[in-house]
Amino acid sequence: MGNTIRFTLDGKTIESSDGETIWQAADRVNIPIPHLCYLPQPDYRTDGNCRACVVEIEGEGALAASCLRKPAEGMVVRSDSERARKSQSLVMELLMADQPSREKAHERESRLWEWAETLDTTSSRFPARDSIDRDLSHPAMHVALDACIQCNLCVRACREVQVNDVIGMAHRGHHAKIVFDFDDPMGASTCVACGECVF
Amino acid sequence: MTQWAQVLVSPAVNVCFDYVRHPHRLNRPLIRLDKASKLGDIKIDPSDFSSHFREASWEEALDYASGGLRQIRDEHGSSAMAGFGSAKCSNEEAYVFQKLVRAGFGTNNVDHCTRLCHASSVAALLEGIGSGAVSAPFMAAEESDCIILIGANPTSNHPVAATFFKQAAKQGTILILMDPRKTQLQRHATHTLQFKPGTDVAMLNAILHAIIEEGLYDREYVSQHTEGFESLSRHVREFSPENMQNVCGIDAETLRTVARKYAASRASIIFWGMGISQHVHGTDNARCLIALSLITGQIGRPGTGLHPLRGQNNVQGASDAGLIPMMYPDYQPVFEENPKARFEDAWGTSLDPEKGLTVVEIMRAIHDGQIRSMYIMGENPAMSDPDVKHAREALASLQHLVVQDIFLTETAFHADVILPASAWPEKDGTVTNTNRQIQMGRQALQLPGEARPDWWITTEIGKRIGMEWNYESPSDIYQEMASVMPSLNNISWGRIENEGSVTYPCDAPDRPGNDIVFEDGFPTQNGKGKIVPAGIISPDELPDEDFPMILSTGRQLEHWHTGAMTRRASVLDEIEPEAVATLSFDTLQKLSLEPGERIQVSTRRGSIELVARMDNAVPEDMVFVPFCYVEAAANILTNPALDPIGKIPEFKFCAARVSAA
Repeated sequence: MGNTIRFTLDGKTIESSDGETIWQAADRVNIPIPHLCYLPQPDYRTDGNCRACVVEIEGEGALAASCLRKPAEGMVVRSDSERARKSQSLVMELLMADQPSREKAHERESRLWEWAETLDTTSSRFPARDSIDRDLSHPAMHVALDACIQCNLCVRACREVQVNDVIGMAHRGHHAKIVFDFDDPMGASTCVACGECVF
Repeated sequence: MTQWAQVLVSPAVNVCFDYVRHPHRLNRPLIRLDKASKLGDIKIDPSDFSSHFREASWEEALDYASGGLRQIRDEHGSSAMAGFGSAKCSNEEAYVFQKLVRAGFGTNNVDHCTRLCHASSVAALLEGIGSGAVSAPFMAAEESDCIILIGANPTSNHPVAATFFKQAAKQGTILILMDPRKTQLQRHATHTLQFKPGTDVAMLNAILHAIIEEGLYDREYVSQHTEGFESLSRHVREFSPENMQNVCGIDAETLRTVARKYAASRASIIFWGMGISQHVHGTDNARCLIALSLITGQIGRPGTGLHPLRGQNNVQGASDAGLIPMMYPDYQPVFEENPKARFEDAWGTSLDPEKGLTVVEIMRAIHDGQIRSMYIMGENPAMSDPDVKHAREALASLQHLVVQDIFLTETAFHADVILPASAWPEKDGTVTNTNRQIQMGRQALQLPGEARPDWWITTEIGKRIGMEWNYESPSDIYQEMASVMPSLNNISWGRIENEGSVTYPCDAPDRPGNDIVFEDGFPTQNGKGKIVPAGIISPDELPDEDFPMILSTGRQLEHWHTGAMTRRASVLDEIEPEAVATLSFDTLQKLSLEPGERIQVSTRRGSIELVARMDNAVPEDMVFVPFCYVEAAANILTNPALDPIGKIPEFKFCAARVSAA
């Protein structure tokens, strides 16, 4: 453990050591901050791309991703301010636009749905994307990209944790999507069915 | 990295559990209807065996099984008896099985599939450093600067270890691959040495030569901790990289580069697989690897060592527990007076002072009329032995064969009694993995029908052939093991139960086990590691006009060993449903064959038909066949020639012919 600092989160004073992120410190003292693209497990890098974990830091103009941002001495952080909550909810609402309804969800108890409920954002005002067919080509598992929020967690699982380098994010902008190899059906790809991306 | 990677599991584990509930599962004891129906080439439908077997009660089956064993032992003596245990059973089951053969049958004719995978590695390791286990776990790859991986294809066969190697390579560790096949890890390797099949010793001696010639060996380590350096130094003088490059197919400069990287790195480690061990020169191959690590002092420190990658979840534990014909538990020689007296005392009976026969030798002894009865627990020699036609004929000619398994395996086709046993999730017991971690397995599923845990069955047979045994649980057996196996010191059953896994050796009941061993010398008589020079022996059967190609066998990712379990795992069998042989594009072209075409692969021992698959990892003029497919059993083809020391067959090399089917 390195130097210990103190910062304030949602009005609580928290001691934190070098290297810990705001999200990790919050988790340690049981202050829940939404998180989707971050899996708090060894070997999983934080990526900061879903923005569900944004917090407001006093004196700073932009919100910060708590999974990446490390606290500093005297920092005053709010995950529950109106601005932070609104932003977290808006992220959720944008993601919800594309999701199958909860009755039709592939996994009704998924972390996404749990956080959607916690943030009271289970529906969306935004238009949905075109429907995406399921890929049923692999005997061990199916790919349901209609539920994909493109958080890149499966890419990190495949490329960084298992180093199988099968899953990738292809195309740009609105057309971005998760692919296996060169956008092959999963069953025809070099996937070895390790299952890391499913956990 | 990584506690997380330590809970990584291979695909075969993630998606294969339904085999335990396959309709072929044996759930009542079976007795053969008519002894005369035994034939070497018999085929029995596991879903309808009524033509050959009838169901029986446990009482009747156990009496019948043990009656036959007892009768042959009493009439023809102990040397007419033999047993094969299994590296898929628990430590307790392995221990009680070898005890049954030694104390009950009165012979050391007890072996298991380690004979077919790492017997030569173990022989060389015991000779060189006094211990047959790994000196460091595969997690040591994380702390290493240079990894040599030779004769192994971990992405298929050791996927969890493979992840550690890939992670290490990503962190900048030098990864040197040596294999006649250009395996998948080559994408991550800094150096890939695709040497000519069977030229391991030539290549490794050239590397040893370069290290010694260029003065890259560790003088202090050599003088303090080793013996035999001078004779090695003289021996490898002729093996200069320049002399050996045409023999092994790797240019001298690459050999020298690799020698420098391995010797000069702060911490270097060697991992090897069956490409090293399954040769008539398997022991010599392993001796070269041991010599590499000893002369450079790349052992006994974090990130260094010698690690034969084990091929079955409990092959380490089953060997430790004594399923080896020349060793009692903990590798204590059966032919030496002291250990024999100790075990006679512990087991309350006199024991056979002669070394027992090994797997392939037992099959030969059956043909010779010496061995007349066998008890086989969880092994499938009718698929896993070399030249299986010969092995199946041997099994069929036994007067009394007791098979204990979860399925009606190809071996059970020849049984007089089949005892329905337990799958791994259906029992309690410990196993010891490749890293020397003793792990607790806990029963998660009920046994189907009347199936029983293996340790219980062996105990019941023991009682019926005169053993006064009263084991009531695996922990009773473990307790006895711990009393005769110093390697289990400070590791009680209760401790493994609490901690889930404990590594041996362990210095105190409240301290973790030692991942890295040999920090200060070796468990040999003088504490020194013995360097043993290896000469060049060519493979037993070289290609010729009639059989111009090389056949090599092994596994593939989805199917495990003889396929008895994984081919009954629905997902795995759907991914790899049919027998395939892999050949390179060039070889296929030369033979005017297309990928997907049915081909015939023949050797002097037989022929099989299967589908050709293109795989440019396979070198030219080689055909690679996985041995898991009963419909095209690779071991119909393989050569039963043995390594003279390890007694391991040459599964990795024989002469073959390939043509359109």
